[in-house]
Formats: sequence, structure tokens, C-alpha cells
Amino acid sequence: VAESIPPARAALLLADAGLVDPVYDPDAVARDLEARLDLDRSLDALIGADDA
Amino acid sequence: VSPAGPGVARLSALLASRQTSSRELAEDFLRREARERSRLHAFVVVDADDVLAQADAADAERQRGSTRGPLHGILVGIKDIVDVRGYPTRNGSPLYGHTPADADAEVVVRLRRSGAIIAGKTTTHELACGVVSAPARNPHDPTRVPGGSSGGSAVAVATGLVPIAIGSDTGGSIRIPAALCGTAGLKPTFGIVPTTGALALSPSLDHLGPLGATVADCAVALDVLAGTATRDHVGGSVDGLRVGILTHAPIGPVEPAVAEAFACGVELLRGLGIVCVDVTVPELTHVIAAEFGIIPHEAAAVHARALRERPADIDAPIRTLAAAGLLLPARVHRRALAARDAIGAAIHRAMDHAGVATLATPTLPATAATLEHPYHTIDGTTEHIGLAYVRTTAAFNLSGQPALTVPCGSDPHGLPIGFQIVARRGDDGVALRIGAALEAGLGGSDGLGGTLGAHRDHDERTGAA
Repeated sequence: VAESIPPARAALLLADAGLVDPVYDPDAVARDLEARLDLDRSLDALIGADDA
Repeated sequence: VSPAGPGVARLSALLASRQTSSRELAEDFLRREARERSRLHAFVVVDADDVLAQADAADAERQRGSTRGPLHGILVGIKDIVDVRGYPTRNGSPLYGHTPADADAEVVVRLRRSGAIIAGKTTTHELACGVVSAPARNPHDPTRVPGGSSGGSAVAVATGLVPIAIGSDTGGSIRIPAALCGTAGLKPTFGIVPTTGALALSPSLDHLGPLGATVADCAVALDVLAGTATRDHVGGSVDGLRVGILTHAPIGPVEPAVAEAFACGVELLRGLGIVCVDVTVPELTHVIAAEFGIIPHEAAAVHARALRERPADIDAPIRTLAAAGLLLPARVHRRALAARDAIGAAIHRAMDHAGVATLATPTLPATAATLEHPYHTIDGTTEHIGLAYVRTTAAFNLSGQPALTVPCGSDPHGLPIGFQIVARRGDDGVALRIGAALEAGLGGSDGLGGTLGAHRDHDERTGAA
């Protein structure tokens, strides 16, 4: 199951990173980050779970 | 399906015997490049005066009885992410202007030192991150993609405009367009070709290397770029060598025509005395997660300023990928690097266990997709080409192994199919030796086996047979 990233959290992440241009859509960014974190989690089977 | 023009050996012989001159080759190049520019867009910048001046200088040196090196008087294309003094480096992106580079990249320095004539800058997919390379088109069917990101380099070689063009490869960007356009292409061992003066995408995975009309052309280019002596391997015996055949996921599934061509290539290798055994590396199922765990963070570091100040000038998929690198925690990058190391170790363990010097795979699961529908459906699963093409190539960016693609037949539409040969790190010559044997077995080693016809007017003009 993908880590949940609500659009509001994506908006905060964007602001923190200085990505303030309206071309960045928090909804789309949230979906993209969830998919990428899901890919990252799939690596547990190869390198073990992350403790951080 | 092989490139349409002669390879370096043939051109060098014509130059040495005075049957042609670099001036004649340059004029022929300029005429044909201008003719094909609006159709295939292999090059983004060609400076005719500069090309002719380099050619005249090469001819003058030869007339004085000296040649600089193995590429003396030979035209070479340079992907437009690599600096060439006096030419803008536009990286396929509106982020970069028209200011000329004030110095050559190290690979260009080495090419010039070997006598090469820099023909111009070849079309790249934006920021070297993609497999379409617009506006370049596949010369076998201009409604189809040439592959990328070194698409223009592949088109330039496939159409016989140049026998060698330089490309870059972070997840397959030399091998993908080479396979789709029907040329040879080598991603060398990681680190042996300097990347100084070239745009980075993901420095942990970036490689520069050659696309060539023949495997021998890739070997001579590698020797110039890396100071190796791999061309001595080309033509050597392959009898008794052992090759591991790797076809399971994520290499497979592949299109039926690809499977058939690959099987024919394996049988040809067996006929040459090579022992082919099946090899399995289950860890390869994590290739895409590792590759796309590494690239975002490194691309974000390269493009951080543009992501903040000019994001609308970056194509949406690339912007999304690079922005993720600024937003995801650093542990994602660290874990992907650990996965890269685990995958590389697993490949080498499997090769040790099977006692093989090289691996062989289909270079790509499918042939060139149309621009209109950039997807492939194989065994009922539809994939975008941005993932489909990379799943057979990216493992060897992660492992840093040399990986060569050799043309190996075509599908029912006449579209080229590639055969990938992967050696151990530092054994680029072994991959080239097997690749040359395969190429010779398929009848393509003189660089004149092509179906595109561009060699004909060259040969008519030079009097070559």
C-alpha cells in the first residue's frame, strides 16, 4: 500500500523546496510521490526495510 | 538491417589510397544532410564552413605525409549535450541559449587528437531524458520514433551521414536508438570514457560512448575515447567462449519477432563454437525501482535552479521526475544506490556460477513505436515506451558493465531488431569480439549491408565497389 501523501502535504513540500510556480499541481505531485515511494518500498525485498 | 554507409575501415582505406579525400567526404555529408534535414532531423547544428575547413586541414596533413590517428579525416557526429568549441550546446531544451561553448568536452578533444572531423551536433531528447528525440525520425519509417535520448546520433549513423556518432547512456540512451535504427552502439564500462564537458542527467549512471556503422567502428571509437586497445579484439576467435542467455523478466516478455531474431542470433553464436547457457538473475526484477530511485535526486541536483525559476520550460514528465528528487527524502536515493550495488553483485554472482564471460539479451523488447502511439502491448500488457525500452537496458547502467547492441534482423515491417552483449566491467573488448563475430555471421561487418540506400550515391561518386 502506498504511503499516503495528501495534496496539502505535497503543497507544503513544494513550498519548502522553493517550487512555487503554478505549473506544479499539488494533486499530481502527491500522486507521483506516492507512486515513487511505493517503488522505493518494493526494494525492501532486495535490500531490507529501511530503519530511518 | 544495417547502416547505409561505409564504416571507418572502408573510408580510411579510400582516404589512404587517395580514391577520395576528406573534402569529398565532407561535401558529400553536407549535401546529404541538407537533403534529409527536414525529413529526419539527425543534426541540430551543422556549420558547413567549419566542416570544410576541418576537412581541408585533414587533407593537407595527409598530403604532408602525416595522419593524427585512426579517425584521420573521418566525420563524427556529436550529441548536442556535449560541448564543441564554437557551437552552442542546447541539450534539446529551451533552457539553453545560443551562446557557443568556449571549450571542447574531453571526448571531443580526444576525437580531434585522433584526426576526426566534427560534423555537427546531433539531435537529443530534451535534457537527455527520454526515448523520442523529437524532431528526429526513424529512417526506416519516419512515422516512428528513432529512440533516445541519442536519437539524432543513431539516425546520422543509420543513414550513412557519418560512420560514428557520440551518444550518452543513463538507462539505455545509446543502445535504444541504435537498436531501433539498426546501428551498432556501445555503452562502455562505467567511468572509462570521461564525461567532462557533457550535460549530466544522473552522474552515478551516465556514460558516454559511440554509435557506429559497424562493431569495429565502436571499437576504434572506444580506443580513441578511452585509450583502450579493444579493436585488437575485433576479428579474434570466439570458439569456446561461454555466453549466458538472459531472457526472464524484466528482459522478457518480448515481441514474437524479437524473440525469433534473438533465437537466430543465439544459434549463430552456437555455430561459431560459443557455448550458450541459460542464466537467471532474479534480482533484476528490481531494476526499474533502483534506476528510477537514483535518477530523480541526481537530475534535481543538476537542474535545481531551472526547477525553481523556469519550470514551464521543462517538459512535464522530466519536470515531474526531477522535482521528485527535491521532494523525496534522501533515504530514497541512498536505498536505490544500495539496490544498484546489490543488482550488480547479483549479476556477477550469476555469471561466476554459470562460468560465462558475457551475457546476451534482446536489446529491446520491441521495435520502433509510432510517434502517434508510443506504446507496446506484449502478452496482453501495454507499456509506454519510456519504460518498455529501458527494462532490457538499465540493468547494465546499474552494474556499470559494458553493453553492446548489434543489428540482428528485422520485424515484418522491416524495422530493426538489436542483440545485446554484456561483458564484465573492463572487458569491453570481449563484448566487441563476440559482437563482431555475430555481425560478420549476419553479413553486416563492412557497414554496407543497409537497406536505406544512402551508400549508393557515395559509392557511385567515389568509384567504390
